[in-house]
Amino acid sequence: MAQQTNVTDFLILIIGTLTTVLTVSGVIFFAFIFQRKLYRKQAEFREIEKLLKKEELQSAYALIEGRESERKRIAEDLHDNLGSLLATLKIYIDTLRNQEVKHEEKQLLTNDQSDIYSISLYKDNRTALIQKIHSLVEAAARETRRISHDLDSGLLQYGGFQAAIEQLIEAINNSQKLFIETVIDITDPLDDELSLNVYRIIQELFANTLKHAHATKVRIEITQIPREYISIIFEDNGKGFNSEQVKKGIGLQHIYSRVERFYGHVTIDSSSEFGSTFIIEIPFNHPFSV
Amino acid sequence: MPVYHLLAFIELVFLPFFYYKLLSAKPIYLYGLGVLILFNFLHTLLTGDLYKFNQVAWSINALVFIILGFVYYYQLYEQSEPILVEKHPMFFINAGILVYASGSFFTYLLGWEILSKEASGIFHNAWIIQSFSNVAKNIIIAYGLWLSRQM
Repeated sequence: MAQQTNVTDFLILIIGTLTTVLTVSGVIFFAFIFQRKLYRKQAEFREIEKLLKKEELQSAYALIEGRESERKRIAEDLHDNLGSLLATLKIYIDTLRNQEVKHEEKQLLTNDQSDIYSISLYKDNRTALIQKIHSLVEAAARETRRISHDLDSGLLQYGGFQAAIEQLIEAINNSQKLFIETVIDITDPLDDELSLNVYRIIQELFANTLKHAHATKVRIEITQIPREYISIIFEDNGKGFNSEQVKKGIGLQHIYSRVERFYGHVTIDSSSEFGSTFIIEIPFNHPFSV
Repeated sequence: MPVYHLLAFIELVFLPFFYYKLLSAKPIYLYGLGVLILFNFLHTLLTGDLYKFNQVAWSINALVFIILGFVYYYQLYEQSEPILVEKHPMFFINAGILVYASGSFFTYLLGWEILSKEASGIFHNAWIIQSFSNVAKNIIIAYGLWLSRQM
């Protein structure tokens, strides 16, 4: 009997001790796995941060690249158009000066004021040259205005964002390459930095559609939720594209970098059947907002 | 002894209610709690003596509390956001309850032995185990409550 009690006591002691030890070990075990999960999560966060930093750098590079290509385009514009106009102008002015010198020398040598035919020819040539110089100066002035307009989107500055967009759309509509349906609902004025960037984004969207989409119709909707965000919905009926493959194209990168700069986001839905849809939302509480 | 029955009953109502608030699988939990209370009640009825130590029922109760404590830890682990253990009051409060439940389980297993005053040797002062676990529980839960005030 006493032996049976001893066995029961021993069993109780074993079970009791085991339960206590296992419970305390269980608490320690959970504390350990909680810590491990936390460390794992922290490591994941660090990895994500690293990736974000890399993405941010890529966006910054794309932005710099965008500026570089814009500068290059302006330099090419200056060189090819304005430069060649000025070079031609210089040639005409030199010719005019040479003719004047030759005419004066001839007059001094011959001292003949009566060569009416020669004087008349000289005068005709001179008038023609001056006429050419005049039209070249006009062309140069026009070209300067165009480049200047391209540089700071003058209308954007003076006429406001909506007027600039409307003019851009009118210009594309006039080219008869696209039929554009427009909805613009902007109630509050946008700040300069944001409006210039949104304008450039829309320019890039149209450029991409014109260059690659082979679309005939575009619908653009620009709406503003006051003090919250501006939304651009751009739809075309073109041949669509694989957004994953084209993502790295410079045109799209410019759009992404401009949008990301303002902490906005871009959603692209594209198919060969229904064309492409870009939904861009840019919040107003970005670091550039005042 | 009847007072101890009352204490056990309060414990049986309060602790499961505490876990009921914490755990997400509420319907299953409610059925389990119903079965446990019924078991306790029937056990007391069947033994038919309020002066008898309800050894089996209370041991099972303590075991159930231990299981509930670990289920709560598992639930904490499964949630998407990791927790900072040293700053999580519920981690400590649950740890306190677990320590207390394991100490109680040990004591309740020995309940009749102790109360019959026939226990000898190491079990002679077996209530000390529960007392120690109770003190440890109170200290750990106090720390948990202090932490919750800091947050």
